[in-house]
Amino acid sequence: MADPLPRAVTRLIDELARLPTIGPKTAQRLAFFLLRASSSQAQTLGRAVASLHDGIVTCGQCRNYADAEPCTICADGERNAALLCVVEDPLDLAAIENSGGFAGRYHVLHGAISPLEGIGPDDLTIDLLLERVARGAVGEVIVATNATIEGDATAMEIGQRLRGQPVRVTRLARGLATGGDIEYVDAATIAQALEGRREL
Amino acid sequence: MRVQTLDLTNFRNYRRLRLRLPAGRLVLIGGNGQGKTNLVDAIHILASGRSLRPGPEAAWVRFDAPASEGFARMRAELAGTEGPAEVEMIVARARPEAGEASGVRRRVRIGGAPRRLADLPGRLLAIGFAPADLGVWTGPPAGRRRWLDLAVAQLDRAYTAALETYEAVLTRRNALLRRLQGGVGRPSELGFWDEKLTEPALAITAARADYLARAQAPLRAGFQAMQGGARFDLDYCPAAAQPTAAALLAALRQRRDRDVQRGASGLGPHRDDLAPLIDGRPLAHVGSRGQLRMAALALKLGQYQLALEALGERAVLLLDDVAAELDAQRRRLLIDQLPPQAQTIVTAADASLLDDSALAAAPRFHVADGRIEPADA
Repeated sequence: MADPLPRAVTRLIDELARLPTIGPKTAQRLAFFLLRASSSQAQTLGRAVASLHDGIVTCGQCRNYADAEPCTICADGERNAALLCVVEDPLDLAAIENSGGFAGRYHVLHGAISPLEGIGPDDLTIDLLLERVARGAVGEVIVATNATIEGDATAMEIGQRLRGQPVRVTRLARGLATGGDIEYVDAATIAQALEGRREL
Repeated sequence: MRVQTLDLTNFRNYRRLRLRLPAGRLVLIGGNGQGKTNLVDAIHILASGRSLRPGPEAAWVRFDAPASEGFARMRAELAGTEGPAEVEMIVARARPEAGEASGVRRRVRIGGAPRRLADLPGRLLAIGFAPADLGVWTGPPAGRRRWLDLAVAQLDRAYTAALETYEAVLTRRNALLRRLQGGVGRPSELGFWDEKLTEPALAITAARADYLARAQAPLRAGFQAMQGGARFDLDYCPAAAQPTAAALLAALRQRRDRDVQRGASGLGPHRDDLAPLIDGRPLAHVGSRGQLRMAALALKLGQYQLALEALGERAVLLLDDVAAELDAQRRRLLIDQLPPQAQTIVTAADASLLDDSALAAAPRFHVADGRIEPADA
């Protein structure tokens, strides 16, 4: 049976469908939205995609994606260089940054230790983290990996590799969510909240 | 405990069913593929989270259900010594077009409130007798662990969660072992997974040992009822008998090289087994085929008795086509041993097999093509 759609449309649908969280139906809808939109709108999107890789560098210090080297956070002399927050990926960094509660610097691992996905410690930027700490300006490493088995494995690896170094290594607290009702919290979270309780 | 009503939507071959179940015994009659087993299976899944049948959970959803109804719902209203209760499970086929991984999503509600899957086992207390169970002593250890896991989970609310944690960590440890086997990574990476493994491993081993210690007397009574005279013991053979986290960690480290070589974990409760003994000698050596089959049923009767003693609650008994697997004498023996006060659902393709037993007088329903009608209507 011949494809009822023009080849250019089919090609776009195929490319869109390769993106995460986008299935064939969504890809079709997006393709037709772009087809019906003005030509300039489609071109703007196309240029943004085409130039995505050109303007981006990886910051030599924190390994985050940035417009220039070093990135704005690493270049900001107002920030506390003694505090280093280690995150799994740039979106985690953005979440912590947007919270406004942290004024130190970051280190992006670009993943977490995950045997199921074949990711080991050597596939992350842990060696670069150790180098940064060895340079001596860092007083505390805050491990902000996800509260998953993979995040725990990564945190433990970092903790072990930093053992013996003159830095404090901490992990983000776990427990009740703000606005949460204890009645509906699962047992594992309650147990962790009890473990991590604090003096009033 | 009894199931008062059972509601099924799109479950296997049931489009929609609402069935009020009698308090005592009930016989479901119907040909193959009509839905007898599916009905008792729905109760078994609500009781344990697991099916009586092998196969993927996606098969729980009626195969010709339209895409807009790509889910199955099972719901039971219960009456127990602690009053009425309600359990519900919804199984939805994953929608790959919405970016969901393949397989299914399962949701559990207890008393109408969403709960975790691990919270389900033991709310509805039920014990299944399926033809495959008769081979439990001659088959591989996995079948014996399956019985043990279902039995322990009925009495120990934390057990299923420990099993889930253990399996999640074990899968990852095995994946890492395969990587190391292929020469990728460092063996020291195992340290984290070893440590994560010990806590649930110790909890599982302890819970199994505790259950079997308490079950000895009821199991012996169950065996005696089925087999007479001989003394029956059920020994627990834990693969990891280390009593402390430190000892287990040391043992894991000791066999690290072998694990890497095999690319799989060789130590832990996933390798446990049970050893049945008659008068101190291995049942497998001295028992006849018939004895082995009756000893398999004794396991279930012992489980029922222990649940009754520990919880004060009578489990619902689900006998799926077991009668056809036994000769007339053993069939009668089994039926005679069924506790008369327990709600009991028996399926049979050939009702005449039950005519000379205590089940002859039980109310009968016909099952045909996913519909159920009283036999005398």
